[in-house]
Amino acid sequence: MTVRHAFFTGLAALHLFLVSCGAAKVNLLPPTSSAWKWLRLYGEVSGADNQYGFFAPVVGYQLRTLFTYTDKDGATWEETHDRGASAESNLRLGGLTDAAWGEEEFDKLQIRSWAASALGRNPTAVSVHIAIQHYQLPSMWEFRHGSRPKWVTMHETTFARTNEGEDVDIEGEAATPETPPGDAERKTP
Amino acid sequence: MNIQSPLPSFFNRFALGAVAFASAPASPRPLAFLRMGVTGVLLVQAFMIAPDVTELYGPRGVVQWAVSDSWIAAGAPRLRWFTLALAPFDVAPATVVRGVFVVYAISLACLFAGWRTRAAAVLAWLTHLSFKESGAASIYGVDHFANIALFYMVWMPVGDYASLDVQAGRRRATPSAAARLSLRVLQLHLCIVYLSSGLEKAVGLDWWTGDVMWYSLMRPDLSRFDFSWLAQAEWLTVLIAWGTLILEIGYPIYIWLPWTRKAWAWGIVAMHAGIAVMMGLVTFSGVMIALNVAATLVRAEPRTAPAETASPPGEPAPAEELATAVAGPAC
Repeated sequence: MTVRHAFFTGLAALHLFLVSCGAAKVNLLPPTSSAWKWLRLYGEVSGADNQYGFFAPVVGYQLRTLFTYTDKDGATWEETHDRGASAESNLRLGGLTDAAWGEEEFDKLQIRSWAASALGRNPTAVSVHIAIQHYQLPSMWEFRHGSRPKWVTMHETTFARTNEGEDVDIEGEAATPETPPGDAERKTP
Repeated sequence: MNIQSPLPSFFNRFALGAVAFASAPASPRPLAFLRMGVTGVLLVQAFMIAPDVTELYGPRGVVQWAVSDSWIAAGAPRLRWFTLALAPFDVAPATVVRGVFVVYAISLACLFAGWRTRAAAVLAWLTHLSFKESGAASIYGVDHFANIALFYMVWMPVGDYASLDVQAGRRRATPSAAARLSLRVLQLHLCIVYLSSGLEKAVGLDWWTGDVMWYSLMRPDLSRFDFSWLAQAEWLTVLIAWGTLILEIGYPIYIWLPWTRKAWAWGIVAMHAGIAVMMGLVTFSGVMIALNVAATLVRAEPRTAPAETASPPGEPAPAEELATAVAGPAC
């Protein structure tokens, strides 16, 4: 083994050690240290800090954002995020609510942002009702006994366009926060 | 009477074995499969998401940069860097995003063909990373594994076989210690992946009762077929869930044993193929299959036929005998 190869073998061993720590969710350094920031950067760019608990330990509820538009004549229509050109795009767009939902302040900002772009995409709409919903799936036993899956609203807000034809200004009207039942360890694929 | 302690012999053999494990010359063939398999899948994926690239990753996409920037690790590449760099030339941010995406796709194509492989790998890795960081809300497993694979391609001799670089004489398709080390890193990384994934699954009760298969296959975003009949066949959900646990937790052991290696590798490939068909996670499964086939199913041992190893005349032949003797066949 040459010195060069031994050096790269050492680096590879160190990298795999970091991969193991990432997979085991072990923090090697306190998050306040500057070394931790470099370690985090390395983990991020190399993928060494990834965790691999797909569908583990449980499969989470699917979340979605349902946009219901109303035009000036009272006609309504619906839309969700997964309106992409391919199944791959829809997988990503459909998973947005899962990824983005969680922190109260962030959620408010994110929903306002979605409302603005939704009204921008639908110029004939005078308002949009945004509902964050989770897919409530009964267990196999409950399903056998007649229970069926359904979308349950966790949070809803209506935004109205105030300056039609100009920049989209929005006003929130109502919010009804509600958390999905149980499952604190919700995991998405 | 000659009495020798067995210890030095044991340590010598262990040390020699460890050195051979990491450095016995291996064919670059599996790494070429890694390169072509992963980039092939990523090219298809790029084609599929191209129409929605500004929606997914643009500054005014479904999650705007003002929000997603806060999720990015300090110092990690992001699309905003490109827009800032091109701002003096009055290029619209959405145009920059499309342009970077085109560069990403071209670098993938170069990597697939093995043309200027190292440079193409660096470009593909950096552009992919920028999209992954800037579109953090819309990424999933495939993006993490693509990042890992592209990062490895920057360092590994993935262009040393079946590449335009070899045809042009820039690289030589000869067995090397670097190929062996690369293969070991890939194999060990996959062991960590499946062991940690399997153990984390085993902690959840749903994996023992089979409920996890029900909840996964009935999710509207993942189900491709009507699986409601599974409620009448709970035994099948238990069978699939237990099978997954056995495959994943057993991976770091059985993938190294010569008599179980192929069966285990094909089991893992079948599991990912099942995920692709049943749950529609096609690109994720494609990348995982490429990683697994490269790591375990493509022959890494140099063949004895001189034409195969393509050693230039006058140069010593690769150490096939040593490699086969110390590393065992196919791994």
